[in-house]
Amino acid sequence: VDDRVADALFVERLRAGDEAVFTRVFEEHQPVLLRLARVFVKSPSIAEEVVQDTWVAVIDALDGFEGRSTFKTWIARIAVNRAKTRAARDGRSVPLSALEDEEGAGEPAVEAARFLSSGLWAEWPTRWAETPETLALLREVREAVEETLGSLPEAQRAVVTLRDLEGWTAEEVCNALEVSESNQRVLLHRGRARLRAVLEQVLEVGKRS
Amino acid sequence: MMCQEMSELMTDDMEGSLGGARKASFDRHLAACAPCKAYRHQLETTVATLRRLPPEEASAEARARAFAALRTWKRDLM
Repeated sequence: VDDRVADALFVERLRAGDEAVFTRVFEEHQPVLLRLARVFVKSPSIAEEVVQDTWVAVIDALDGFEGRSTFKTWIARIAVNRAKTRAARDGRSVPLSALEDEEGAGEPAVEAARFLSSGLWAEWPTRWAETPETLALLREVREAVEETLGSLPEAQRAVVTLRDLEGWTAEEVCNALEVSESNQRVLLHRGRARLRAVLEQVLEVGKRS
Repeated sequence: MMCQEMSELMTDDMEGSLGGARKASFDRHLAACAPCKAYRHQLETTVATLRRLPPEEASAEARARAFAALRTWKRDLM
């Protein structure tokens, strides 16, 4: 509720054309909008165009902002719609229910070969010695994450981007992507599992060399 | 509950959506199983790592265009 009150106040200032407030809004939301656009539009330059168009659309639509969702989920929805429209126009086929599809739904979180037939671990995971702070600075890790994100189904990538890269809550993500709570959880589960598996591989290779 | 099932329930647990008897048996297994604990730690480390990746930078052009849109809009208000 506090978010909404704050939103209502600064949307009013935005409507009055307050550039100082717009500067803050722009700096705060531009990075996530870019990441979100990249989910649907692979080319960085086209993603940037999509985000620029999003800002224009946001400004045009300010009078229509009713505060039923938070401002940040509202602009994220505008960005997602524009990115999908652009992707479709450029010939990338985006199923109508792209965010609801269950691509990779049958895939286990951990490959079956890691378990014995009893369901116990055959090849045990080990505790990583590296902290997240260290991992986030490693070039191999950044490249592997970037590549894996690029290979995830769009819905998984969108959820992981907002939840984990941006730190949004489940509720905010459901709202921005218009997916159900349980679907959000399934998509997050698959996306995180893939990323974990890739990081495990990177760290194992690092240990051997 | 076996380790393989545990691996499929990790996100549900991290999201706080496991309840009742299932949650109890999940917790019992996790407390006793070293590889499942390590797996959980890997998942949490993965999430924390993603959170620390540097944000995308806004280009000067993007910023200029957004502000131009705001000014056009403001002019139309007058």
